[in-house]
Amino acid sequence: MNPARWSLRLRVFLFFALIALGAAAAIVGVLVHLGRTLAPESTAPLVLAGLVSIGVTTGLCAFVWLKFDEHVAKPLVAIAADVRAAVHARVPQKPPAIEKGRYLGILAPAVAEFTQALEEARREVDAAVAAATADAERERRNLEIVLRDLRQGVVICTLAHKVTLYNRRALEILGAAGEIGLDRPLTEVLSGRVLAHTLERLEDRFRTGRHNIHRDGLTTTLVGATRAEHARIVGRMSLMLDPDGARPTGYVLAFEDVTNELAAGVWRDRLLQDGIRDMRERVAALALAGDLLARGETPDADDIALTRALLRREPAELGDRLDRLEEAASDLVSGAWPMATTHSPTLFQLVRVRRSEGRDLAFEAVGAPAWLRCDSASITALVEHLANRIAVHAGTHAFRMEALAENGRVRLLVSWSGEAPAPSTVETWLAERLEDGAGAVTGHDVLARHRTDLWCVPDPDQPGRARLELPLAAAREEDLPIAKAPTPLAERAEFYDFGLLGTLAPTPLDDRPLRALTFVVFDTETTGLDPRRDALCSIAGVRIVNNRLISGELFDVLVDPGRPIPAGASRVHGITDAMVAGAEPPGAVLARFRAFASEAVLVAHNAAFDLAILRGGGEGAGVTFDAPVLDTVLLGAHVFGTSESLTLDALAERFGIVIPPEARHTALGDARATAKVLLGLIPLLEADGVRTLRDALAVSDKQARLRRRMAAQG
Amino acid sequence: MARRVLVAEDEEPMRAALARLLAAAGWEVETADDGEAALAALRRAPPDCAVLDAMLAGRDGYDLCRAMRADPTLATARIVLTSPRGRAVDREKARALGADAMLTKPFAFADLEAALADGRSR
Repeated sequence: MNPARWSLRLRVFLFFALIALGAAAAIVGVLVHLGRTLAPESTAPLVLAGLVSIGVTTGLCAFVWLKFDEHVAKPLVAIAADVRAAVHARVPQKPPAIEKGRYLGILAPAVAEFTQALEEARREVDAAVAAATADAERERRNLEIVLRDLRQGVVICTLAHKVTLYNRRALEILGAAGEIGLDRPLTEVLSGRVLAHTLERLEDRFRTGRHNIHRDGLTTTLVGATRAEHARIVGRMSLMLDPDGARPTGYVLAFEDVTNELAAGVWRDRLLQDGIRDMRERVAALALAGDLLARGETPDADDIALTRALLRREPAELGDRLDRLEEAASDLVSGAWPMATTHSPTLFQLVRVRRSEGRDLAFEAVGAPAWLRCDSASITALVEHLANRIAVHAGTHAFRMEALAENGRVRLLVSWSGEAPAPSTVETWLAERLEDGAGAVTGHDVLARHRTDLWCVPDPDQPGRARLELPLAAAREEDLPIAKAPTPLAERAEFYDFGLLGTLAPTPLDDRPLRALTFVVFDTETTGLDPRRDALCSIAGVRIVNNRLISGELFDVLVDPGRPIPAGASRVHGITDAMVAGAEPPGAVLARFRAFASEAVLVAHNAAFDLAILRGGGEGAGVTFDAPVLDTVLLGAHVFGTSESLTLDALAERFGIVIPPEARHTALGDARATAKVLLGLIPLLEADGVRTLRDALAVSDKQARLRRRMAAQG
Repeated sequence: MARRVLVAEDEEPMRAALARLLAAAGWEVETADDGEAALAALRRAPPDCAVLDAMLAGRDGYDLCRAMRADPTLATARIVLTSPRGRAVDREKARALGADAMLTKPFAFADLEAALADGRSR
């Protein structure tokens, strides 16, 4: 009985009842007193007067109460309800009706004004929030587009090398070396020593304030390799600071794959070294042959035979080495000068707009366009310079340009009506200084830079015309800026999670909220149901980062169990012996899976079984799994009670998760469904006070013990 | 009648050696030590074949190729260009300018004989 919790109307009623009762009691008291002092015969009129006055008083109280209830208490309650609705409702409310509180004076209008003001304030806030959200969304989308289309790989990491963003190119370059994903250490794919060293240098530069005067600020070059040397990269690492600029929060790494360039360079260097050494041997033999003949005596038959043999063999060998050296030196593709992928129409347009010597030359582009690899500035300068000379030499001003693609090269053809200049004339033109030759001094320099040559000949296809031929390297397939077969990564929106940058220092997983954990939810398919005897046929895992299922980062691999798969098992999961033929054995796959799942909490439905399979399969290969493990069966039991059905299908149904029939009982399908079940369970666990990993492990342990006891009791 | 060959080569020992070897192989040999002299000799007495150094002073071997191909009396003569450069683009240039074969220095005399015989580039 707490009077404070009684309704307003009840309390008003009790208040008036109390007045009526008090008045009645006072009247009775006065009358009793009067009755004692007055004559007995006046008792009857007194009683009558008393009854009448009590009746009148009570009636008055009742009347006033009714009016009060009608015009004060009820409107107050109504207004209170309206105010409460206005405060809590998400949708706009009508202001409380003013006529409700006619007798409350200024209160009702004041409340009406208040709710209206509240409404307006809320509308303004909503509009501001909507605008800010739209801004953020727009920026996010711009960032996504920029990152997606960037030809460089970009990765953003925390100081602990945890990835918080990566783009498609980064995945392409690093993907071969291992698993790259949000909240996973970059050191798993890139050599950690180089990363740590470079980051240390930048942090040191920041600490000592040298970045203020350093030419590169908080950026430095990084040359590294992926683990297992799948790719070599060159890029730049930039330190990121918090908004105050007071301390570093992470770093950005932008890089390119230079594996091929470096390989070409290494190959050339090696060839050069070997070639020189080998040629010394050949020349030494020739020198000795010369000595044999020149020692002053008449050479005998043996001398002559030996000399002949040497002189026959060595020059041919020497020529062979020289050929190889020249081939290396003239490798068009791996030039040292930076070459860009250029589309021939672009090049022709550049030639067309140049007017260096003021001649009114007309250039017409013919034929199909082609992609080539050149330094377009110097090639443009060269072509235009020669066209100026040819125009005078041949008395023409009209040129046709064509780019002829032919096995690995593109021949630039510039033709005109008239004579072809003699090669020695062209030589003199090539020796002239180029106007604005983009760093190259003469035409010869441009040709040397492109490791090619040019010549002028009568046009074999059109009598009366001549043409200039300039072979250039064709663009490399991988450099073509045209769309290749779209990869399924294109539409992934979950490449980044800046929320991860908040997790600066690695906190012990135990105290991390469930929402902030990285989970790898996995499922296995096996040759049977006895983890001691049966082996892995397939394993799949998906990742949950910051309470989001990352759809693009998944592990889904068939495994050769090393024994026949019983037909019964094949019927369940659809995996047959033929499908796993040539697949990797469990040990190798599990080593990769452990890399995929590193630093994450493992989750499975009925995890004990899957974990036993994992541990059994990894044993031989020295792969151990010691990450914390959660089981959706045990968590489900905690939330829904042990009497409920806790099969994957039942839990999925509870959360409205649809498992496509063809995906059910595949490792990936079940892993995905389990992940969604986990995401459904987390809010329910939180509502129950299970917030951190420690809490979740504790309730799991309790449920496990409960189930063991139930099992023991049969 | 012996087949006639012109050797245009500016390096004296090389020119002498080629002349002796070709003469020994049964050719009637004429020599020139620069481009102008070579063109004059070619025009004076058109040979069956020409062995031209690509890097001659005055008119270079490429020039001679073009000049020979443009001259009806020389257009059918076999031309073997010898060059210290052996890149694919150099062979292409030689072919484009009218040479039948190109030999990269150093080469064996047998290669030259083969090139003179059928123009096959080595």
